[in-house]
Amino acid sequence: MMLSQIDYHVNLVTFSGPLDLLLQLVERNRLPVTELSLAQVTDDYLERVSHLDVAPEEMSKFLLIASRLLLIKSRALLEIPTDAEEEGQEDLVSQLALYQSIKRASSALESSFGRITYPQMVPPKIDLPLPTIVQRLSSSLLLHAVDRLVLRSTSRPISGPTIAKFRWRLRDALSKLEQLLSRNHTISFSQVVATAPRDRQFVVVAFLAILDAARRGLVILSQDRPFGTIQISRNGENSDG
Amino acid sequence: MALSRSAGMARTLMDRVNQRQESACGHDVQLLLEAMLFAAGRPVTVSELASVLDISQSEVTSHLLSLREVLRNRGIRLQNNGYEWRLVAAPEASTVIQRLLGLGMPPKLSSAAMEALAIIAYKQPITKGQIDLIRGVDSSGVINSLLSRGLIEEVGRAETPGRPILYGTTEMFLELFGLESLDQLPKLEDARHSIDKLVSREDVVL
Repeated sequence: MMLSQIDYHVNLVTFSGPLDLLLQLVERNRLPVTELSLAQVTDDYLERVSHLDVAPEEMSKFLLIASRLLLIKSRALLEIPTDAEEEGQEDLVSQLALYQSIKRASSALESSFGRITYPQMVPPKIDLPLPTIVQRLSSSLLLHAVDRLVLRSTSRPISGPTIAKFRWRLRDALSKLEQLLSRNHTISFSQVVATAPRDRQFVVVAFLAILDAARRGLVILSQDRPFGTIQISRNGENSDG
Repeated sequence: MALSRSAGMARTLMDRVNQRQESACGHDVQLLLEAMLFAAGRPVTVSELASVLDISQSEVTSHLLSLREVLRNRGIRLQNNGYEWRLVAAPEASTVIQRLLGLGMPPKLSSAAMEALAIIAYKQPITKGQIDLIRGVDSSGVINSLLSRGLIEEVGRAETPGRPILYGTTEMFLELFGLESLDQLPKLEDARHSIDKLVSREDVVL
């Protein structure tokens, strides 16, 4: 058997869908994507599909293309002039042409896969604000301070922590958040906090409030870097309802 | 034609070099931009750079574009994902960088995933429905794998019934395919045009 004959009988086994199969049949015959060439490969296509073993919902897509192909072929055989305004055939040709151009672009793109432009391997910088006094301390001074602390803590009875009563409820913070968001689509966390200046408790409750609102899908939170500004925006979907 | 075009490009490049501005503090803006992007080590927006240099955003952009051309002869490149700029290593060096830092090659994409990625890259922003239509098959699986590999992301919602998610490519996409920006995507062949050419040349018989 001649090599070319063997090639001709090789079965196409890998295609990602009906369009892919159809394109492979057209390209194997070195045909352009036109109605005539689609009519030419119709029998081939039907032959492949009749041997396909795929799930019913997948099969329906293959059959849909098959029916469009049959329409094209019957028109070609009956020599019915093409009416561009009619749906069906023009449609499949342009769909396949677009698919073909995407396939070509995809393989061109794939050839540059792995030509990676590596970014700088900088570890994320986290600026922890240190009080200036700590920066000026030497290690011996620190040791001395720890010694004193240990002495003091052992010489004095340890008092239990005091728990301050919370003045703010979650729903207070949530209503403030809602108020702010009713005026602006996006606000920053510091704007929320600023509604109750110099109140640490409110900072905590407000933070819980934005987490709660995010969990319920009312807002979308974003923060572009560690310790950066937290942006709170209304979630578009829910604002409509 | 190619020659005259490259000559033209060289001329505009020369013009840009001659026009190199000095910023308010008396330094070459292009030099300052390169230094800032290097030190930042992260993508930086034009507005950030403009406010630091105290010049207009359009000036910053034109300086970035000329810096990008200058860097093409160097080991670092200027990458732009549409709204942010950063310095990256030249793609030609990816193999030696991998060897130097002991990095592995990322796993290849399946052909179905490549196909969907190409569609998203060229037609972004695009919905899953539109991708399905072009491919003729359901693309949920490949879209999920592209999302989890960070090559695509949600970029918004279409103003059509059901407000479907719009997808676009990420910075990671540019990084993995060695692109400075989306303008560098291989040209999408005009399929209709090539068909007309083929039809006029060949006699197709039934």
